[in-house]
Amino acid sequence: MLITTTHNRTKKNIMHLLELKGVKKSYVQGGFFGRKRHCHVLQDVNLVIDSGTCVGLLGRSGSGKSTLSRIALGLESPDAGKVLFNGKSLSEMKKQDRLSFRKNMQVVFQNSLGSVNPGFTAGQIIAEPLQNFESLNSKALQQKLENLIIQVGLSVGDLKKYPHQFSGGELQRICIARAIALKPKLIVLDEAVSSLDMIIQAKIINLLVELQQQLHIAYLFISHDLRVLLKMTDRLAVMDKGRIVEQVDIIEETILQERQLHTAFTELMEAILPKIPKK
Amino acid sequence: MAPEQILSVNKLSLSRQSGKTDIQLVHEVSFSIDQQEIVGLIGESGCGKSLTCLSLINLLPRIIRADSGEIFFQGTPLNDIKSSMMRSLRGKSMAMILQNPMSCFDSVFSIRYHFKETLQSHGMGWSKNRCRHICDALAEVGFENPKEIIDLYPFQMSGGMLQRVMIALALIMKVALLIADEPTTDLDLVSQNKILCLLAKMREQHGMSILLVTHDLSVIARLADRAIIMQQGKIVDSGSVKAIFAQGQHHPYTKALLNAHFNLYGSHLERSELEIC
Repeated sequence: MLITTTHNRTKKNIMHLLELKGVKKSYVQGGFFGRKRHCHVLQDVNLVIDSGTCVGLLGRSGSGKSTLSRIALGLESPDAGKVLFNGKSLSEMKKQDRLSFRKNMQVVFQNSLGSVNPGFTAGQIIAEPLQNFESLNSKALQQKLENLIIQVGLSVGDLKKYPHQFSGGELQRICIARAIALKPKLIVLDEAVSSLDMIIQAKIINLLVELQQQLHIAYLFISHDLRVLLKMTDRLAVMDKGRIVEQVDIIEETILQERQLHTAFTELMEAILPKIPKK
Repeated sequence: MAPEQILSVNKLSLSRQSGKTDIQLVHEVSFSIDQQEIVGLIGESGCGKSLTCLSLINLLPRIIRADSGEIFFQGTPLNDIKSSMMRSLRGKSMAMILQNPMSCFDSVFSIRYHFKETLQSHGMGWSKNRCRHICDALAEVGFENPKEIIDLYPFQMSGGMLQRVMIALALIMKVALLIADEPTTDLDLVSQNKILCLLAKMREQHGMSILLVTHDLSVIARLADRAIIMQQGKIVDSGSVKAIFAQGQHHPYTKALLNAHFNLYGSHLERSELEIC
């Protein structure tokens, strides 16, 4: 059951920012001692992300969410199917286009401590993409770093600190600053708020919403927590066993239970814990 | 019958020496847990929740020093108990389940061996009968084919499955107190719900008391009878779950926590009063 949105149907001629067409991926399991086995992680996945929107990807662990994000980022190539960025296929891109693709796609992972170099200061961490893609003199670079760190809610003095001196939430802000440094078109948020405690999680979500409005970024927001996704996303894609089984537009006051939904979705919905104690 | 107190902690203080200064990590924490009661302990990361738990089973890291405080378990003071005595209490009368079940099992041994090791270290032999007991325990924590599970290795199982094996280990020892330190933080929502249902069942059917450590208020709302809220090593608020979730006089930190929690439930989820098992 795949419900394409009316929005996409009417504006078919408009180019999508990122489009996954019939993407398949399988990994080989075992083989060293045991029998080789193909494990189909993604099967015929179609997903469209338009610029400036937030698409949520919901699924249980092991449903293929992270593999999908790696393929969308171009870190892995699909076995079959296409990834189109601004209408151009990733596998047939020229060097120039590929560079611009890299510049426009950024990612924030769940494990912030694992995604930064422990020997770099926060300033060096944020400066890395800028040094790779833009030739700025040291003064302009410093100015840009200061703007970025203030934009994510930290102070200029924090640029000189090392990763271990930050808390998890602060370090996640630095990862976000690094991701927005090049003003990308799309940021993949792979469980970016899942391991933070509640108050910090709420703050990071607010920051992400704010940045989206300021910079007109599109997000691919991956999570297993429907509560978080409903707060942020315009459209929700639900994954189960390597397939996208449901796509729903989230419009304000949508009553999700009006329609017959896929069991993978209802299962996740019913697993949401109560807001207040029953007793 | 008045509920019997299973654990009571009185003015526990923990600190760590750093250079010449002492850093106070836990400051005069007092609480108690009754029989068959689930107490939720909530706080931000780094507020001393896990250290408090570790001090209950006397497994504090060496650099952490207990400055003061008394811990009574079933009426016995644990402060100057012999270490051999403590070893027999730990695992037999109180057990701990942790956030990352992957790191709690040894990958080169099967699940059967883990059970065998636990049983033998508490002086219980290994026999055909035991094997049946283990299968029963595994079936009770929700495995449909316990005979197949028992020969699997930890790396062949998912996080949720391993967490259930941990609970089965506690179950077979018939522990009185289960310390669950962020038992569902690494799991997805569906597995989380299964584990929480299982913990509720353990309490109902086996009379376990549970100390539930978490940073998610919805876990407390689902399971706990009482909640303790910690911030920077101190208890700032405590009371019945109903009182904590009700509007009223609360510590500013509790208020912020409740705010963040309620904000997470948007208008889409108004029907969140779902029937849960």
